[in-house]
Amino acid sequence: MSAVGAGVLAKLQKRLPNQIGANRQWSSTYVSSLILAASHAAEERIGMTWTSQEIALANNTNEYRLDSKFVSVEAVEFALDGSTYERELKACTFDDLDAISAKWRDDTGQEPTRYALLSTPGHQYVSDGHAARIVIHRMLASASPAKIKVSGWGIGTASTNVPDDVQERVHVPYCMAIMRAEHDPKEAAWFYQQFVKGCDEIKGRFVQPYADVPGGLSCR
Amino acid sequence: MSVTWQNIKDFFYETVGDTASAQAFFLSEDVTAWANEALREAAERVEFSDYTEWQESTSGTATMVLSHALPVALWRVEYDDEKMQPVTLAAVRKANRFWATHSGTPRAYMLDEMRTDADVTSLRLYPEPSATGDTIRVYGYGVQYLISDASPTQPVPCPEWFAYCLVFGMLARSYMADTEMQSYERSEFYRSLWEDALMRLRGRSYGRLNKARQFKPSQPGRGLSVRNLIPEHIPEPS
Repeated sequence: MSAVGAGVLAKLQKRLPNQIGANRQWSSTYVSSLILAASHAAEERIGMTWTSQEIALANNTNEYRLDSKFVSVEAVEFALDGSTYERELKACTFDDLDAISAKWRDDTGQEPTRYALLSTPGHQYVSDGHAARIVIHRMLASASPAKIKVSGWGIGTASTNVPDDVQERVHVPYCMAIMRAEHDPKEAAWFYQQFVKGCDEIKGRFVQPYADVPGGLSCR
Repeated sequence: MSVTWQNIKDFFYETVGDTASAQAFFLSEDVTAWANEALREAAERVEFSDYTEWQESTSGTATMVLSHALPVALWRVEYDDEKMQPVTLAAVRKANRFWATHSGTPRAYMLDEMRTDADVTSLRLYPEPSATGDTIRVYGYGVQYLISDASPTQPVPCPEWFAYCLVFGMLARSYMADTEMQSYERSEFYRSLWEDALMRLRGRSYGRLNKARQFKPSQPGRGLSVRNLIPEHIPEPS
């Protein structure tokens, strides 16, 4: 196991000797970005990294911004004291909330019971109306110190540890596909196929074996 | 850590063997245009971005013009925190001959017969608002923010895990352009990667709520129940 940034770089240098670095075909900065792109693509397909975000609730506020590290949201929990998460919020749509209360946005209570999502999880923040957000029902009139914890599959960084064989079968083919495309798109297509195949094979290691149980976790 | 426009642009230029400072093969303005084109294509095809806009009502003003000039498909409008119903102007005309002067708390909105400028999205509230200062929220699919070289450190408006895939959409377009770099084969390769990435984003976008999502039970109705198929009055045999 090694950090994905350094590990994949070392493996690529063996396949493309004297081609990566200063005054060579590919700069180290570019290859680092490429490895990060490979890492994001692999994490989205396989579901390797579980991530969570704690959000301190504010008075009379039902909409909160989500981190861009999410790929999917799988669970949302509530802690009245800000530390003991013992209530799970149910996922729902705006239509479901309309059926509960015409003015659900104004409803307040002791604890939120449902949540809805705006924009695909991971949407980066550009402005208040343009980011991934979570909407909770009911908001709290006096929120402090209550928190919610949003959990789901996410993306890591260049220093995230990934097994070496996964790097070999997933990250390396992805990088090779982009680096060889300028020379031979057919060869590049073969590498990309290896990346997709690698993800499909490796996915079984990370997915919970209880996905068929209601409430069991799985990465689509 | 967000993926910015500068990250994407540098990545694009080095993939084609160029640099952002030299621009030997592709001009920066073309690259920016391809990025925006790819973003809009993604937004329209897979509906990943729930763009939101807030405005306040003005008494006597029924027309609401959205502040951006980009095409979006509206999927929800709220007036004073309550959902409004979409209707057509044709239906309102039939229902109320004095519809144009009818004022009160708006409960419906219309999009038809409103678009006189293809670059502007506007809607009409019905009835005309009688109050000033009520919140109108509009939700739609679309990209509100366009990438620009003027703000290179701004995050790209898409999911972070998808951001680098935007380069595939840009490369597919750039290799189609009639330049020395033109290559239909490379363009086709990047187009297939772009389509693959869009399919992944579509899955994440349409299935964003988890499997344990609360759903509305079906409403009781006539359906195919045997009891509902029996006529209310069975006539005597003649």
